[in-house]
Amino acid sequence: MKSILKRLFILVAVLNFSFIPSLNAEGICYNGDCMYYVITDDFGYSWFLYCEDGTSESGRTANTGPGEPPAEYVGNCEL
Amino acid sequence: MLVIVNFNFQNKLVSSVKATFLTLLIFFITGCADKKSYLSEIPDIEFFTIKPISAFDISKVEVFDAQDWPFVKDTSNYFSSIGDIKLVTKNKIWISDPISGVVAEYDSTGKKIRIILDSGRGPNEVEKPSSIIKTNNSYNQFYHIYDVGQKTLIKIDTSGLEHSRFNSSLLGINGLENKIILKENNRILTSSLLYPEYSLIELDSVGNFSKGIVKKIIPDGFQPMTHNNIIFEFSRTNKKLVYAYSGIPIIFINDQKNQIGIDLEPKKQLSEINTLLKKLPQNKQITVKKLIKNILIDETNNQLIVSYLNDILFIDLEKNKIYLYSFFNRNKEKIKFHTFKKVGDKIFLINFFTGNIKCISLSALKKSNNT
Repeated sequence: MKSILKRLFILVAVLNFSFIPSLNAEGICYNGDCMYYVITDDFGYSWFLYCEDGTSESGRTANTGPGEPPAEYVGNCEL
Repeated sequence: MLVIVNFNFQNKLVSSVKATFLTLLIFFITGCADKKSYLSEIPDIEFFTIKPISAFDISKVEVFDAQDWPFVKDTSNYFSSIGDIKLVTKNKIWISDPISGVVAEYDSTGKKIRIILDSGRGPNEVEKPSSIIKTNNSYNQFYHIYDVGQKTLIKIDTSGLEHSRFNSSLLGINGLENKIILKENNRILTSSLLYPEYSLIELDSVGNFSKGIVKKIIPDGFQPMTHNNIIFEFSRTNKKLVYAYSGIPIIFINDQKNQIGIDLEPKKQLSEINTLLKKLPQNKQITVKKLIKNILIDETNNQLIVSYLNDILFIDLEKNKIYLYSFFNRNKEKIKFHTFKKVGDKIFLINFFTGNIKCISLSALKKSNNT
């Protein structure tokens, strides 16, 4: 739990500084720090984000393919 | 001259009134059209009688005595996430943790007793355990654990021993919570985006597609796909299906007598609360908020329990009554939660972000109603 909170804190920092985190198979990531919850399937990535204010968001992005830039997280989660 | 002036004035007045009327009419028609277009995009909505929440007798209740569930304070009990909580016996609680990949047993004081299913892919092992589903046959009580990582249903007895397992690529994924309902003859209800056209589907006892139950709002190949996520509950006793598209503020109730929809935001446009249903290209990055978080059918008290945003609604359809509960801590700060679970006589409010679990007894809620 501690490590997850640490990661979430990192994401908080990321969002506060207006950087856009990216989505990949490990999660919603920034500079190698990722948070849950992302699942890959035939269509790409399904992701589920649980925000501090009790809201949660979900999205799905097509596989961006090798060598292509990762998809961006575009949600409104105010962490 | 005076008459002419007066005539002009009257003309101007009439024109002004006409213009105002026209503006109001256009505003009204536009507003209605917008609302109508949002509702009309929901599949099969024509079969439901939509009632605004304001048609019910609503009592708003603020609850201030939500307690921390004891074990969250015990650092030896750290777990990364909560997929499900089930009361197995009076003093035995099972909790699934999809992130850590374990199902563990706790006593009622919150003390961890043992690991039921450990992380792995072998017998008595799980990858990402989510729902814990109670099933009975004539002789024994069993539980099915839905391992969302392997898309597998694992049947275990109350001692935690695995009896069988099978997987199906059609079993759905919906975040940390992944509801599965086992109907009669072990037919499976699951919310899945993987089958064309339908969001809620029924599988046979070995996981093959049987029939579609609820259609997708957004067709395959378009965004925002996750508007198709379904929150649902099914009562085997009276064959009642209650469901909602999690990003749409309408609860659909379908039983053998009635088909009713309850609009929780009758005065709001979808654009005010969530991503629109407009079809966008598949590669468009977009997010959908989960508005309706969980639905339960309380058969004992003949009511629905629905979490909408950070409130919980107890809906009594026969009495046309809704109790809307908001929960606060002792500092009078509203409790923010991602889901709730009913475990015995208690309601657990779970915040996945903080890992905090608040616990409220249903008897305390009933007491709040009377005050």
